[in-house]
Amino acid sequence: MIRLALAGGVEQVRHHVRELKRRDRPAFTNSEVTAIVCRDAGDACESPANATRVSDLATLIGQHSGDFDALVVVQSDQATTVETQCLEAIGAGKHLLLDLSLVTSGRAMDRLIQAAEQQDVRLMAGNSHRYEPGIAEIRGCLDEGRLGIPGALRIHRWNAEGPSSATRALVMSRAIQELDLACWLFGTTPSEIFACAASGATSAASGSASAPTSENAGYVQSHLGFRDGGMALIDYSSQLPRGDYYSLTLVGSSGTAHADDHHNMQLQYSGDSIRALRTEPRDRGVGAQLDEFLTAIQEQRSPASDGRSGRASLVVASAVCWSLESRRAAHRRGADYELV
Amino acid sequence: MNLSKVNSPFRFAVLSVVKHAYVPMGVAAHPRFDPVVVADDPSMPDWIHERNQQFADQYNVPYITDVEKAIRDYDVQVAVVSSEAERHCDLSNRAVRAGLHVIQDKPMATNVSECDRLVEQIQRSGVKFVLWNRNYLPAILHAQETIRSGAIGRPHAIHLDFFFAKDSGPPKGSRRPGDPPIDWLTRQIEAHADGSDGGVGRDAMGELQVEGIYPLGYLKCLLGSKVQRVFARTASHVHQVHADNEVDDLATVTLELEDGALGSLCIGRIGAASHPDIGEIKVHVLGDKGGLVFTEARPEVSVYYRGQPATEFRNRRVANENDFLLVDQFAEAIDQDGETSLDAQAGRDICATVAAAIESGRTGMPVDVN
Repeated sequence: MIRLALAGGVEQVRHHVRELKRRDRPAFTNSEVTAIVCRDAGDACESPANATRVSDLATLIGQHSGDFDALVVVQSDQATTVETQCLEAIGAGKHLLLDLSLVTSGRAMDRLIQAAEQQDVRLMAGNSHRYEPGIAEIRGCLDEGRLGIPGALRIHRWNAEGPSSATRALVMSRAIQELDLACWLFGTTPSEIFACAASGATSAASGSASAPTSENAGYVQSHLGFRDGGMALIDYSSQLPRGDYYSLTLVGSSGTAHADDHHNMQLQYSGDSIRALRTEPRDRGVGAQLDEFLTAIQEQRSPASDGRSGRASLVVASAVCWSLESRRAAHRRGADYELV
Repeated sequence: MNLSKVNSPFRFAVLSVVKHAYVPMGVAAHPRFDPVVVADDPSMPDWIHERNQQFADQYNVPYITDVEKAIRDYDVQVAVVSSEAERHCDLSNRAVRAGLHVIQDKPMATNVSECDRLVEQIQRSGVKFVLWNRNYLPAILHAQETIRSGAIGRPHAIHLDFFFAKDSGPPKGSRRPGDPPIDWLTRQIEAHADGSDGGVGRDAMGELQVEGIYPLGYLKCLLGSKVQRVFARTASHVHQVHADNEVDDLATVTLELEDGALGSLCIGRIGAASHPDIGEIKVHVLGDKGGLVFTEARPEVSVYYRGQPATEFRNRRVANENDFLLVDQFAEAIDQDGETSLDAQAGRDICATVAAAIESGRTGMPVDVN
């Protein structure tokens, strides 16, 4: 039996707890939630009654290390210390699923990788988008050869995330998941990167192509070029007034696939407006990601999205930041990128 | 929109109609435009003369192998140019020098310097010019109206997807060792049968050049912004003929616009198997108050029946008045000395954007648009 500790916001933890109760995944029957790390670690998380409940990772690792075997960290409001605490967890022999958005750099991931190898524990770079049903379906078709060689990937991800965050934070904490998807679907990291940013509030005043600043945020556009001609265009916005939108198109040499909200909307007529409703809720990938993590632990193998794949995506995300801050392209040189 | 008043019709000459004939047919369908002659240069190869004659016969007008003579003798006011792209500007220039207004098929030209000469000639002469476009499709008009209403606030990003699901000969990788490369012109002549010969001519052209004008025309129509700098990736990914002739059938372009806004273009001839219909053609716009997602093909109806040919599109566009409205607006521009929906300068700017994107795809560097 794998004892799981879950760390995140209330809704995320509750979602994970509910997923783990499903009986259609064999890996879940061999696991149990024994610890919760959440600011509101009470009944709102729907955790088992006998689970350890704490409000921060440091307390969990420092005082309750014996209560769990594996740690899942999907959100933290202590961004500056989460990497250190996760290193401590690994050092205590805990398997770790850490959301990619919580790792600040490739070097930070290197430290986690090294620690996990020393302890012989599983390290998974979390990106539940990989496991969403539509995306997983497309990946399956790609693997089966139905689409041929991937040629062009187009992703739109629009959200309403509240106040704009600084551009670098937008890339490293949000857009990185799409960058990771691109690397995963092409099976490699890009050889060329060009990125730009804009803000609806400031572009009118600037009068020129936006030079991103720490205040200039809310929208990032990443253009990736892969060896052998592959290409990806990804735009990420946090500026919708409400709701969210997602669209992915993958053009291959012999076929094309689309996972597209526009296509999958239902209509609701009520009051004086027509509403578009999406049947598939977001975060459907959480259960499949947990399944992969737990199965990897049981089978004593690397998970599909391991530390190294996460590291590669983090390096790409850093290069995206350099490109948009400098307004120059970045080309890959060995394992890293240089502005050109 | 204002429908132009019915005045005396414009007599027009069709100066070469070697590819899909929808441009001169679209013009001829308007009540104010009368085709009176088809003309071309005598030195053209037989296949061109055959196609010109075929069109002339269809409209019961003469075919003259002397462009200037046709213009002189047939009292025309307008020229409709639908030759190979490499002759577009030459024929248009000659028509403009003769004092004719011009409706020209896309693309504007195969190089920017030819566009510059035409723009200059048009400015000197004062005639009207329009580059054929799709800016009057119902979805584009609807998107334009929505943006202008302020529903999404001030746009700061626009994304144009123009993936069209057509083949262009055999797939990439199908050439056997020892086989010669596919000749571009030969392939384009074959493509006339299904109307996918927009790139016909001696000079091979990628899809950025052949079709880029449509989505970049949407950009002009919806935002009115000029492109200042681009970063592009281009590839011959799907079709053997594109690989053999080293032109793109797939491209992605980041667009930095003059007012600080950003854009992107994804374009490609992705193969008939890659979509149940004409392709994935969409417009996404983000503003400071919201976003828009429009499918260019709508409204459409779906029709399926037993025995339906595999090559027949299941979805049919309806309420499409693009041709009529475009030509009608052109007539109005002539009547009232107004601007056309996509004039020569705009066409030139699009050509320059495409040229910069091709350069960027080659170098892997951002390129300023000339």
